[in-house]
Amino acid sequence: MSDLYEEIVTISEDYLGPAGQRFVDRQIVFHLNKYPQDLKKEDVPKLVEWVKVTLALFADDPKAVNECSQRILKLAN
Amino acid sequence: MPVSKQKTNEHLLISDRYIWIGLLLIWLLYSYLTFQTPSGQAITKYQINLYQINLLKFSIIVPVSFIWAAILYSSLKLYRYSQAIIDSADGQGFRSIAHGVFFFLVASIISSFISLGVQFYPNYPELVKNLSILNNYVMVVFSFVSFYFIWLGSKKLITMIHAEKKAKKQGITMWVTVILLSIPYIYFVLQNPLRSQSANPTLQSTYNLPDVLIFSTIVLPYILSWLLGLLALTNMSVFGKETKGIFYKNALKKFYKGFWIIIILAITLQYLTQFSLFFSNATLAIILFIIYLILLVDIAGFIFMAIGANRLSKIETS
Repeated sequence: MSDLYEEIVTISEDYLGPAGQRFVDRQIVFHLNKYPQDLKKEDVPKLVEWVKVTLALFADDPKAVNECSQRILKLAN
Repeated sequence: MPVSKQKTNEHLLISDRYIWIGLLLIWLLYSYLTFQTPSGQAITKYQINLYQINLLKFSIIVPVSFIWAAILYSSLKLYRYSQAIIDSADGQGFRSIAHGVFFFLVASIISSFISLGVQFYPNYPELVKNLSILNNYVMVVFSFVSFYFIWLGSKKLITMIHAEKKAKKQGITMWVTVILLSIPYIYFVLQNPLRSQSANPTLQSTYNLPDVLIFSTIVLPYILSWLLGLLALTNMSVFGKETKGIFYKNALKKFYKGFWIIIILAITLQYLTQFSLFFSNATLAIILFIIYLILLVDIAGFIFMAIGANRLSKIETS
């Protein structure tokens, strides 16, 4: 797996615990139509959009949702 | 991969629908039978008319439906959540917890129907006695099985994050708590004049069993159930503290808040059962107040569990 993918998983685990990796995998497979190992830097902004929308469906802390999205977005730079 | 997952979800949704229809049919049957139970004794005892009796029956049936729905909702959500992650260690833990929650529903339904049986045949003391014994055993067996499955599931969660030592350490507090709770409980059982038999034909005995059976097959299993429930709570709270994830932790917290309420209620109910004599002489207002309070707390507990289970499920399905 790429370093980029591992970093995204680490960030999402801070918010989703053991569900972090599964969550990231689902977003990549279903919304980007890619395998997690094929994730590239240019995919990150689109992935962040989906992460933000999906987290907002069940998370009751908008600040944390934003924080998570921003941390992942930074990896694109 | 996405296609097969979608099919699994559709299959689960369809089977969920059948389970809900099943519960609705059971509830309709329960409601119908409740209104068919003879009301003569209650009318004489509490000096109320048939309309008031029916109103009371209605006011019990409605919250019971909420309780059953909340238990089924939380157990299905937990089960669906566990199925979504069944290959991981936490998936197996949550499946076991879902089974435990489901047994609460089975216990509540069976017990409600047995209680109806008691009300249908008030003039057959031997039948009433046997049904009461059966009801007590249904409650004690299912209570033990429910808490056992929940404890088993919580233990798997603890093993997954390698926090067994911490959970064991905190579990000691729960052992002490159970010992402290058991002493007054056993005292109240011994003080209960109606525990084995009732000299008054209008008053029912609490257990209709000799002391040796009361203590070995009712009191001891209940105490063990409390212990399993409280140890499960400790495990869940350690798991919640040790695991990562703000949103995941929040969902877990909601779930075990509900579980706290259910355990406290289970213990309180066993204490209240020992005051049969007091309740047989109490006014209708006091009895109703206590019944509604119990139903309300029960609903609150299972609703918290349902909210937590729903959030956990959403994390895995969104």
